[in-house]
Formats: sequence, C-alpha cells, structure tokens
Amino acid sequence: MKKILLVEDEKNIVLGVSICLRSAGLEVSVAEDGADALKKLETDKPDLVLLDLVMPKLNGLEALQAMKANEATRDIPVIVLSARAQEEDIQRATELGAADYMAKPFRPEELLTVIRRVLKESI
Amino acid sequence: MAQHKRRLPVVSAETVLQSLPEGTIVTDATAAIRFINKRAAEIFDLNPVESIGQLFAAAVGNYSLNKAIHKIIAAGGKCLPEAETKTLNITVGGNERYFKAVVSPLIEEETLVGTVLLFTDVTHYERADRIKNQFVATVSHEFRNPLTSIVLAIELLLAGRQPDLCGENLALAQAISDDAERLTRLVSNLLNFSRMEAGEIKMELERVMVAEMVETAMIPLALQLKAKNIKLRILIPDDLPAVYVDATKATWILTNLVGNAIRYTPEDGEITISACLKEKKIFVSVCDSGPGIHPRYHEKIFEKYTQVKGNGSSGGAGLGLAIAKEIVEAHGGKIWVKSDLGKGACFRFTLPIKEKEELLLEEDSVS
Repeated sequence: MKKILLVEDEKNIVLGVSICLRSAGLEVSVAEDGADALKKLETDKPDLVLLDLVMPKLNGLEALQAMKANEATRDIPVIVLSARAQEEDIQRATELGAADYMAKPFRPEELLTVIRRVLKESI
Repeated sequence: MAQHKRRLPVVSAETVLQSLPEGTIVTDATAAIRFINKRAAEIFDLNPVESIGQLFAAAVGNYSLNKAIHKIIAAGGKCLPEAETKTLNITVGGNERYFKAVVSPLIEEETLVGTVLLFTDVTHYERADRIKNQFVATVSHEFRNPLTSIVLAIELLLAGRQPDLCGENLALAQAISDDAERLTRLVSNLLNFSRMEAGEIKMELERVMVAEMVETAMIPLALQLKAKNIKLRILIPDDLPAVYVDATKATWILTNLVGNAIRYTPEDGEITISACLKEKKIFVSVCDSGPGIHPRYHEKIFEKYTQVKGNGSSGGAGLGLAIAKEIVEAHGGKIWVKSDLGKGACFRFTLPIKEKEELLLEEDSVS
C-alpha cells in the first residue's frame, strides 16, 4: 500500500483528502505545518507528499526547499496543493522540484488522477 | 428690488487656459507645440517658454500620445469616431500620479489646424481601483480553502452513494455540489479579472496547435458534457498552421466558451468547435444549440459584470467573457458573437499566427 504524507493545516481539507485517499486504497499520514512535515518525512517514509503552500511555521515552499536539499528525501515526489494558484507560485514550486501542482479547489477524482500519474512516473 | 448684474472684467482665453487645474497643450498641424499651460508644464517638467515651437515628440516624448496626435493629423481631423483617450502614469514632483489624457482635433473654419491635449489628474480613481483589485484578489484567495473542503466533502458523499442519500436528500446534496462548482467558477473569474486589471498577467507567447489547445481545454469539462449527454463535434483541419499565443490563456478562453455553451445547451444537445485560416489569422468558433442571445446584448455581454437576464443564466459574476475579450485583445485579436433567439449562439475569436518571414528569420538566427 502506497503511503501519502498530507501537509495541510486546514482541518476540513485534511478530513476530505484523507477519506478520498483511503477510499482509493492509499495510506495517509498528516503533518500540520512545514516543520512537522520534515519530521514526518523521516519517520513515515512516504511514497508521495501532498503539500499546501500557505502554512504556519515553515511554509510550503520553504519545506519543499529543505526536503529537496536533503539526500534522504529529495527523490520523494511532491504535489503542491494551493489556494495561491498564481503563475509565479507554480513556477517557483516547479523550480524547487515539485512534480505537479493542484489549484484549490479540486475534486476528489482530479486529485487521484494526478496522484496516480505522479506515482507511476516516479517508479 | 432690481438686481444689477455684476459685469465680469474681460479676460483673455489664455488667462482662462493658464488658470485651469487641467494640463493643456496645443499643437499645430505639424505636431509642434503652440501653447502649454502652467499645469501641463508642471506635469511634464517643461519650461513653458522654451517648449513653444518644439515638436511634441521632442519636448514630451510620450510615444502613445505622439501617435494619437499624428493619427488625428493624418485623418485631417475627420473620420474620427471619438477623440483619443489614454491613461498616463507620470511622476510629478516625486509623486506617482495618473492622468487621463484626451487628444482632440483643433478645428478652425472646418480645417484642421492642430490638436488639443487635455490632462486630468485621475490618481484618486486609479488608487481606489487598485485597492478594489487587491481586495478582490485577497477575498478570492481566502474563499479557496473553505471551497476545497466543501467540494471534497460533497463529491465524496455523492460518489460514495450513501444508502441514506436518496430522494430529497440526494437532490439537496446535488444542489450543494452544483453551487460549489458555481462558486469555484466565480472565484476564479474574479481573481483572474482583478489580476488582469492590475496588469499582473504576463504574456508568454509560443507556437501551439489549436487541436492541442482544444484537447487541454476540454479536460475540466468532460464530466459536465457527459452529465448532459452533449455531443461535442471538433472540426479542425489537419493542415491548420500553429497559432502564436500564450497557450494557457488562449486555452482558458476555449474552456470558458465551451463551459458557457454547456450551461446553455439543453440535454442531448450539440456543441461544435471549429477553426480555420483566414486573412493570415486563425478563426476559432464555439457554437451551441442553446436558446441563443438577443442581438441587443451581442456587444454588452463582453462588458464586465454583465448578465443577460431571463435566458436561464446560471448566475455568474459576468466576468468570463470580459476576461476572454481582454485575452483575445492582448493577442491583437477580436472576439464577437453571432446569434438569434432560439437558434443557438456562435462565439468567434481570432488568434495570431507567426508570419513565414518571422519564422525564417528565427531559423536563420538558430543556424
């Protein structure tokens, strides 16, 4: 079973995304901010990260940068989820090594399609 | 008691012009400055005496104003539907200010003798507009998180086909889903428009095939097409040249036009997307079999915040077509609609192609 780390501080989004992923046979762990995400990357060893950009403590782009700078975590694919669907953010996240980008709001099946594609590409 | 009218002292026109709070410049028919009032001299940081006799382009150096002056002169002051209006951003005395500039023909005995330029300070309007745009952008950002959990929750409930979700409960759940989608569309359009108004959207031009754009544009609409069982016909010739556009934005126009077409087309209806090459441009059409649009609204629907009432509209902000128009015009193209009530609507727009000469030059520089 593939493990997904969801990094998101909005509780209701965590609820929806978790149910969506579990119903598709994926295992989910949750981090509430960027700093928590970096810790859980080490302990949970996920196959893929869903990363929100606007978060307390360490924000999404900073967490992504730190993750890509670490040899142990740099190959884990990251899909950025963000309300800030601006072109500069997409560009910045891509430059930092994000595999894909989802603008909020998204439907469950859209999220699953992107996750499946990214997981397939990363094998 | 009889009132005696106070007689005004005789004042010269020049005194009046010098006292105006608006900047005024008069040129002759060779575009040389003949008069400049105090305010205009202050705006452009000019010496009012020295600038007399200088060409406008040399003294002021503003390209678009100079172009407007020459356009009026070339037309002999005739066949101009309206005076040329521009908005200028100028730093006056260290402060950034905005001016509305109107260039009009100066006519004497039915002959064009020059042009008159009038500069009105509109900084306070510009500032208010900028604050409004920022506010709209912030609000639409903030709406996205709650919208995400609503969309996820309701779609999961509907997809799970909960056993107790039937009859009226199912209808209620469907209502939440439909309106969450509508809110999503509203929020995206508001954000796009506020950014476009603020001039934040950059154009990144590339060569792209119309067929590819259509394919990408249809991805987010596949579910809606299926739900209404609408037949989609795509008529694009294989040998159609590539367009030279900002692919993301041009694709957005297609998604928006087809999205509208789906909303207004009845179940089992038909939508046709076609493209052809004409006059060195690509013409793209999106035609539907919906209720059509009364000719009186054909121009108005492209204005922002416009809604045509009583045509089964699904209640948007009236921004989709205004954004489409901005994007098309940013590419130097045109967008319009052909429609009669009861006969469906055909939206058409033009996109540029790269001239052969430009392509050859590019290849040369590569080799």
